[in-house]
This record gives sequence, structure tokens and C-alpha cells, in this order.
Amino acid sequence: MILSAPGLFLSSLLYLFLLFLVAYATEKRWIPPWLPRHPAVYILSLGVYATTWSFYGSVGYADSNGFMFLAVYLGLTFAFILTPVLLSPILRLVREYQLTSLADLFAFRFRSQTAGVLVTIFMLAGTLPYLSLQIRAVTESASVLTQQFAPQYLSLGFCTLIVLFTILFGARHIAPREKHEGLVVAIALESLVKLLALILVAGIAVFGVFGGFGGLADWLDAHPEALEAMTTPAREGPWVSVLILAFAASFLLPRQFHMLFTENISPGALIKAAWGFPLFLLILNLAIPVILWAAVKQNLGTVPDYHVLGIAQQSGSAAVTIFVFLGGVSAASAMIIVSTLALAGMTVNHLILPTTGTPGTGMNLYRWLLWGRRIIIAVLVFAGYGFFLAFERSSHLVQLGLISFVAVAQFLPGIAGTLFWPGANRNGFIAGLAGGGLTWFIVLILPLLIDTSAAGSSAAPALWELAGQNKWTFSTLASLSVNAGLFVLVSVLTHQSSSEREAAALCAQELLTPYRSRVRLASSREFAPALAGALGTQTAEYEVRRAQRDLKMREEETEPRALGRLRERIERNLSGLIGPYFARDVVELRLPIDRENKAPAAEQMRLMEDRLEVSRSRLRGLAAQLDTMRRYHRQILEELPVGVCSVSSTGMVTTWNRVMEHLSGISKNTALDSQITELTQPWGGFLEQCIDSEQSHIHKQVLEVEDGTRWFGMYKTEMRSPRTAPYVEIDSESIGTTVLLQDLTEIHQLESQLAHSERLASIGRFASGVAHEIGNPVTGIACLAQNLESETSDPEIYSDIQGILEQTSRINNIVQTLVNFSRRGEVDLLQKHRFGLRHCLEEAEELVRLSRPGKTMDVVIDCSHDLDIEGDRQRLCQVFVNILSNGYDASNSGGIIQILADQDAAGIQVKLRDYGHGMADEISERIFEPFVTTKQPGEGSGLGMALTYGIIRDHDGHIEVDSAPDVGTEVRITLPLPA
Amino acid sequence: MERIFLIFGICVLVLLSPITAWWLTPSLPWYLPFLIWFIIILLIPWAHHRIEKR
Repeated sequence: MILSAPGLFLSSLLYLFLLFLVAYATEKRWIPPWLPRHPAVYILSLGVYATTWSFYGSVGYADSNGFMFLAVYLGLTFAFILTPVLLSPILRLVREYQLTSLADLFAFRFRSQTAGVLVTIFMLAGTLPYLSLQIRAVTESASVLTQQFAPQYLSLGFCTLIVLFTILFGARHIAPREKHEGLVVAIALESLVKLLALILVAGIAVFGVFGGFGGLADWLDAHPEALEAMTTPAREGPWVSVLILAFAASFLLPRQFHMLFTENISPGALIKAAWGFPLFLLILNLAIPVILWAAVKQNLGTVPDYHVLGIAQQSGSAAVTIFVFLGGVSAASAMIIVSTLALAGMTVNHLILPTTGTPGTGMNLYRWLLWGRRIIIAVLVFAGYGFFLAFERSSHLVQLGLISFVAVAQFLPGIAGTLFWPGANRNGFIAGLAGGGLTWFIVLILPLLIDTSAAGSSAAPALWELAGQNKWTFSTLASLSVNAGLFVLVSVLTHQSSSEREAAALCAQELLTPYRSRVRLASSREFAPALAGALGTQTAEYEVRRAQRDLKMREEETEPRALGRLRERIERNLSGLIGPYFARDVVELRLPIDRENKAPAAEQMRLMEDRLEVSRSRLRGLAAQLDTMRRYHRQILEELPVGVCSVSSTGMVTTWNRVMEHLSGISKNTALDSQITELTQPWGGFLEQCIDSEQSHIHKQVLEVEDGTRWFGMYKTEMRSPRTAPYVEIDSESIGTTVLLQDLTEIHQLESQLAHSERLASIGRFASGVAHEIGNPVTGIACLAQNLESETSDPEIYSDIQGILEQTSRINNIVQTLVNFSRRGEVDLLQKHRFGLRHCLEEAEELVRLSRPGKTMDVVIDCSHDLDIEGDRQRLCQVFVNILSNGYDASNSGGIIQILADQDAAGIQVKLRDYGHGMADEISERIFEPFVTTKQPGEGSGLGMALTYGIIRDHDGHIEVDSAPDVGTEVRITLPLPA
Repeated sequence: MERIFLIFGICVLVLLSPITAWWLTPSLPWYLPFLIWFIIILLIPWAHHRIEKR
């Protein structure tokens, strides 16, 4: 079946347009947002690894090298097995420091723009043959289908289309952090099309050509040479070197690095891709031998590289053939789009920007970068086209692919140094890469550049022939040996700069974050004008706002540490935009740090602890043990039964433990990193006062808080800097103050109660003595008066005697009260039994009412008849009489007294409330002390409530009084439940 | 982490040692290399199990 060239071009155009629609719909959120984030989409997007080399070339490679074609994918499987130790650390660095390419990674690690430049140039040189391979594959596949030499306009038109769609997919606008969800979905769809196309062709081969799997098995039995042709070359070929090359290519090729790390949305997806992606490639490759054998059986006239199309044509269906052709277009376009996007970013950041510098204040940096990338994309695609024209007739597809693979393998020593060897330095890296690159050029590129006949006489091919090795084994081992040897040798012989040492520690996870001195600017408002000189006003303002949004920072921020964080975030965001080296350059120059004024060590420790906390799962060995010890000590601080608050020398809170949270009601999240003065009052002022105090210990410090007065014991100590603290720049001896607060409120209350009891006891002893001394003479006076009463008949004398008797009776009452008071506490004398509370209350009310005949009160008793109480009935009745008497005396006639009695789990509650004149605070606070009364002299002894208090305490109960002048008084009594 | 290096070691043994010559023998089923590859893929989630959880 023959197809027309315009038809193929049109179908390619429509297909690419469909892909663009998918990407556009994704970015516009017309499809569910979870879809681009699904691990399956991520896995399929990594299918960009399978280019036309895999789609078409694998069959050709299998034809000449048998199962060797599998080595290209088994090497990748090796790399993905090592995901947690190899790929995940790279992803962490890329995400954490906003790196967008391998050049960014090396420029960041080796703090060298030269490293970035060299990597970019080498990537460009290594990728150009690969780009030309894709253009060539599409052109040749069109030739196969049209059965004629493909017109030039087809390849040129394909290149133009690709430039256009690459710009539409990935360079339509500057994406924050280089995440293009639309691109990822489109590339995933292309991978799916590739997979389905190959499965379709394999299906045609098995069922159309062999008549099913049985037919295939029979054919293989009948043709053992077919299987022999698959296995023998693999046993004898450069198996190991191709595995190594594929291992490197699987994550170092620009397109792989871009899809694996730069476009990665979820780190979890990478772990799933570790098995998902090799599985995808396994299914893809299962089709290859089947298609090859079907082509052999059918004796197809096509070259082996295009047997896939030949088998599709055998089906006789134009739709199937076009679908398979589109599978090839998918493979080519995906590779070119992603590779040129990645290379464009690298070229602009590492070749153009260092040469021209940023456009300055007059121009929008985003537009400048965007147009820079667009132009580079076009230049790269057409350079690939030029390469294709220049080498149109040389090498098989796979040869060009392997040349690129050997090129990217030169980054392996650099990656090993980045992740596992903090001692590696930029001189070693540059020397190694230059040496390896030169070897690659001499062995593989030079023969391509000179005429094939001249190549036979050139020195390079003779080298591997002399060594008795395969071309790929020789080129791989020679270039990598030179590279690694120079890398190690020069690194060992030369020194690292301090910034390089810091970056090395960050990459090898020996250091979580660099510690900076303070920014010289005083406010976040000064950032944008400072950056405007390098980025342009509009870009600078947007970048500062973006960083503030990322940090959830307010617009006007003056706190030095927050400004440091803002500076760090701006540098990271700019790194994603203009590369890490240039971003660092801009930030160092425009947002300078004050090296004289270092961040206090306490703040640095706090920052270090924060980073440790979120990164602890990455710690291993000794570091993990030290972290466990740190957490143990932290836990001790947290669990201490006293409040602990540490404040840096600049007044920033760096420690705030659990008890401190409980005491102050200020959460740890709020307190930490705040200035001590910014804490909610009264705590801010109180702690500031403690810190400023000259005393290191205050026994009792009073603080008025919302729920009343509290007493605290305060201990304070000034912290001195630890002598050995790596990665921490400590300038002063004192690094802050630690305050320990002990809540003494309960102890203070107990002490008050004890003092009160002591006072009552001494009064009791005094009263007992007084009663004894006064009682006897008064009894004598009363006896004498009674004698006189019986002896006299003079009414005047009789009246005087009555007066004496009344007064002695009154004195006796007082003395009896004193005696009762002095006996308070003699619990053994209590005659406890169970009785009805309501009856007792009614009796007390009756007694009080009878003793005040002139006063009418409405006494409301709300108490169940079933409510029993256990105690000395007489004394408890006395309690209620005392309280009710006070209520009567305090109220006007006709007033109300409410008595409410109930029981709950805590005991029996009795509330007696009057609405009389009440008491001032100074009286109510001392109401239980003897001789304290609101009554006029002669109307009360002031012992009633003291006695009441004593009786209630003797019954293991509790009494409290609430009173306010002109409002009334409420007495609350709690007594234990009956046993 | 031990599981990862165990799998990696097995892969090196199966794919990079003289054992390769055994499974590339023409008398064995043609799909044997794919089967070995598939078994290796099956072992990867097992090796990464704890890391994924973390």
C-alpha cells in the first residue's frame, strides 16, 4: 500500500494539533486536575526515552545484534532499581533548589558557571546527532510509505511544525518552577500511542503473519537460525558497555532529566515509576523480536529499521499504517520537543545570560527569556535538520543514538561526585568532562565528520581495533576512564572554595541548609527596588511578591530572620528562572548580606532544628543517632514540669515547651520565631521583665492573667555559645537567655490556708484561755446577782439585778461561743449520723425566724426531702443558723433568701443566697477570720462565720463566699456524700 | 536499603556475569530474557517497599 506525502504531512499536522489541544485542555483545567498528577501519566511521560530509535531502530538493531537491543532498556532498569539512592536524591536537589537541568545541577554543586557552560555545550553536541536522527526517521518512514524519495518539504515542514508546537507546548509562557502539566499529559499520550502502535504491529505479526502464537512457535522450531541470530550477537557483543551507556542515559539525557526531575510534580510518583517505567519498556520491547521474525518470514523489502512500517503495510489497512506512522511521529516529536525545551533553558541560562547579562530595568525579563528560549528552540531544531542533511547517508539509526549515549555517560563521574563525594571539586569536574569529551569527539565524532573512506585510515578506528575491542566498548571505557581519572586526580590535587564546600555538603546531605548572616536591607519593601537593576522593575516586583506568597509573608516585613528567608526564597525562585549560578550572582550583588552582623547562634540553631525535623528520614548512621539524641534532649525539655522559654540575643523566641504553652495559653507555633515583645500580654511584658531582671532567681513573681492572679517562681540563665559548632557562624559569647517558670499559685494558696489555719488555731487557744479566765468570774457575778434577786423586794434594785443577769448571760453566750470556737477541730467530738438535709434547713430557718420576730423574710428552700447528709446535726444546723442570721441581718424586711441544695458526683452542694447589702471585697476576703463583722458593735461577735468555716472543714467540706455591695451574698457549701 | 543492593547484586549477577551466556542460549524459549526482566521488575517494588512508606 502506498500513501501520499501530503496525506502523511496532513495527518502529522492533525495529530500534533490534537496533542496541543490535550495540553491546552490540561492547562485550562478542562480535564480533571488529578489526571496530570497521576503516577501513570508520569510513567507514560517518561516514555520520551523511547524515540524513533526504539520505535523503528530497535528492530534493525535486533536484526544485526540480536537481543543486544534489550541492553538499552536493561541498563535503564539498573538505574531505576537504584531510585532511592540515585534518582530520589537528584529529585530532592532539583526540587529544593529549583534546578531545571543537569547544567543547573552541576553549576549549583560546583559553584561554577564554567561547569554550567561546559555541560551545556557538551549536551548540545551530544544531542544534535540525536535530533537529526529523529528528523531522519520521520523523513525515511515517509519514504517507506510513499515508496519514493521523500520530498525535502516533508522534513522541513516537520521541523517547522515541531518548532511551532514546542513553543506552544513549553515556551508559550514562563511557567513557575518549570512545571508544564499540559506538556506532561501530551507526552504521556504520545507514549501511549507509541505503545499501542507497536502492540498493534506485533498483533498483526503474530496473528496476521504467523496465524497465532502456535504458528510463531512452529516457525521458530523450523527456523532455529532465527533464534540463533538473536542470541549469538548478544553473547558476543558489547553487552556491558551498552548497559552502562543506557544506565547513564536513563536519567542524564536532557529529555530524561527534564521529564524525570524538572517536570516531576510528586516525589511519590518517582518511586512508582521505578517499576512502572521498566514495565512500560518491557511491553514495548516484547513486540520487537516478533516483528523482526514476521518481517523475515514475509521477506519484506524494507530496510530492517522500518520493518515496523512494513508489517503495518502488510495489513492492507491505510488507517493502521497511518496510526503506526503516527507512532513514529510521536516518538520523534516527543524527543525533539522535550530535548529542545530542556536545551533551550540550559542554553539561555548558561550560554546567553552569562554573555549578555540580564536585560536591565528597561525590559521585561520574562519576555526576554521567553523569546530567548523560542529562538534557541528554532535554532536547535534547524541545526538538527542541518546535521541530518550533512549526514543523510551515514550510519544506522542506532549508531547516532549510541553516540549521544556515550556523550551523556560523561556526566556519570560528575553525578557520582555530586551525590557521594563531597571532596570532588570544580577543577576536577571540568578537567574530567573536558578529557572525556575530547575522547568522545576523537573516537566517535571525528569519523563522522570526515569522509567514510578517510575514516578508515584515521587514527581513531585503529585505536579500538588495536585494542581488540568493539567500537562502543572502547569508546565508552576510554572516555569514561579518562574522565573519571582526571576528575579524581585533579579534585585530589586542588582545593575547594568555601562556597563549593557548602554546596557539596548540601548535595551529599551532610548539611541541610546554609546559614546566612543578616540581609543588609531593613524591610521587605526595599527588596524589589534593589533587584530592579538586574531583573527590571516589573520582574523584580513580581518575584518579591511570589517569594512572599510562597512564604506566606506579610507585605511589610522587617524581622531580620524573615528577611533572610525571603532572600533565600528569591534566590531559589530565580534559580528556576535564570539558573542557580546567575541567580546567586544577582542576589549576592543586589541583596547583600551584612557579614559584620551575623545571625545569633540561637536563631541558627532553631533554623537547624527546623530543617532537621523535616529531613530526619534522610539521616543515616551516625547522623541518625545524633538526631535521635537531639530528639531525646528535646523531649526532656518538652516534658519538664516547668515552663521553659529561650530567647535569642535579639529577642526572638527559640524554645517554648509544653508547660509554657499550658501556662500562657500561647501555642508553640505562635510563640516560636516571634519577638518576645510581640507575645500576647501580659506574657510578653512579663517575660521581657524576667529577662531584663538582674536577678537570676525570683521566688514569687505575681502576674495578673485572665483567670485571676497567679504566682510564679522564675529562674533565669544566660546561654553561652558552644565552642565547636560546624556550619554555624557564631560571633558573640552570649547567645540568648533561658527562663524557667514554675507555677506556684497552688503552693501559694496552700500556704495562705496554712497561715489562716495557724491564725485561727492561735486565736482558738487565746479564746479558750479568755473564756476560762472570764467565765468563772462572770459565773460568780451571776450567782451573786441571783442571790440578791431572792433577797430584795425593791423594784428598782430588782430591775438592776435583772440587768446584771442579762449582761452576764450575754457574756456567758460570748464565752460559750469562744469555747465552741476553741474546740473547733476536735473532730472526735463530732457526733456524726445520717439525717435529712431539708429538715435541718427548715429547723434552722425556724430558729432564725423566731429569734428575729420583727422581721418578715421570704425564705425559699429548694431541697429534696430525700436528700440525706452525714454529719453532726447540731453543728451543721448551727452553720445554717449562722448563715441565715447574717442573711436576715443584711436584708431589709420582706426580702428573699434562697436556699438551693442538690447533689452531684463531687458531693452535696448547698447554696444560700440573700439580696441584702452585701460586703466589700476587703471584708468578704477575710469573712472567715474571727472578729470580722459588718454588724454594729454589740450586734455580733464576729465569730459566727469563723465558727461556720471551722465546722465545715471539720466535716471535710468546703465553703466559699461571693459577695458584692448592694447586690447580695451567696454562700456555697460543699459536703461529702454520705458513706 | 539492603533490599535495593540485594536486587542490584542479583541483577549484576544475572545480567552482567557469565550467567548471561546461559539465558542467551538458543535452545531456551525466546521469551526467557523478557521473563528474567519481568521478574526483576517484580522485585523492584519489594525492594522499595519501606522507602515508599516513609
